[in-house]
Amino acid sequence: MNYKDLVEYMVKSLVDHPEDVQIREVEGEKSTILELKVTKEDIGKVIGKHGRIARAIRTIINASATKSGKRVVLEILD
Amino acid sequence: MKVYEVEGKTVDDATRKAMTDLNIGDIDHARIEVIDQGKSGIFGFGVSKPAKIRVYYSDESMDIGELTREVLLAILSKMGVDAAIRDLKEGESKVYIELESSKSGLVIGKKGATLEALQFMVNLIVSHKTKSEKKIILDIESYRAKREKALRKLSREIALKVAKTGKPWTLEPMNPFERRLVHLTLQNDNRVTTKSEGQGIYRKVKISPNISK
Repeated sequence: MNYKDLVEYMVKSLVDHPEDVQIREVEGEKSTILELKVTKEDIGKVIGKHGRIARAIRTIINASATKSGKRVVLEILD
Repeated sequence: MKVYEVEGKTVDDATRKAMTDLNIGDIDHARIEVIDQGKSGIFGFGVSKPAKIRVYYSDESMDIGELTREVLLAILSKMGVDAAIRDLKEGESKVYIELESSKSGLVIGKKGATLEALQFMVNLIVSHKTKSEKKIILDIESYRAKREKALRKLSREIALKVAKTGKPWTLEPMNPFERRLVHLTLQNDNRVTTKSEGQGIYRKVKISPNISK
């Protein structure tokens, strides 16, 4: 399963500067960590009011991760 | 459909101005209504009055339904979910999409959380790309209708329990649409009163007994 692709597609469709979107996938034994970096102006666009957008992104990744039994964590870096 | 009013020396002049302001290339894409033909003062005498027009135009350069389909299918395929669009209806202010999938449970998620997240995400992306204000509603295997029925039933059962025991009962956290449904279901039940409590995603409905007369 390519979580990076999924997150990249959603995030790039939401921000004003898709060219500045960076995602690093850190594969662990029990979990996969996705580190997301966007420009300063776009941070609000991926977090949302009360973290609503970030929560939706996490819900969607976790739904696609259910079969693998692995935990996928999304970290938004600033 | 949006409306824009503009003035110019003549009707033609005003039309040209509107086309530039609104960035409409083809006049056929808008409907123009002349409010005032305007009057030009002859040789500077007499009162000149500007022409005034009203332009009705659509700000959708893209087909919203088509874009919604594209975005939704892209997300689902990247999620590794095999799903298809069974029905797509586009109205004046809404786009309704019914999905079908062998993994519908995965698409719905716990208490509809995944379906809610997908709907929210598709709305965000489409409105970001088109500035459209159309609301997109996602459904799969009539989940929404079923959930509505189940919620109504649950509300009535709890109301009965509250009325019998005289003790208030707080339901689990729900989204605004579901809370509204509970309020509506018990609106005319004079044995109980409903009230929402808490903040944000933790907001829940409390059903309390009415003090007996």
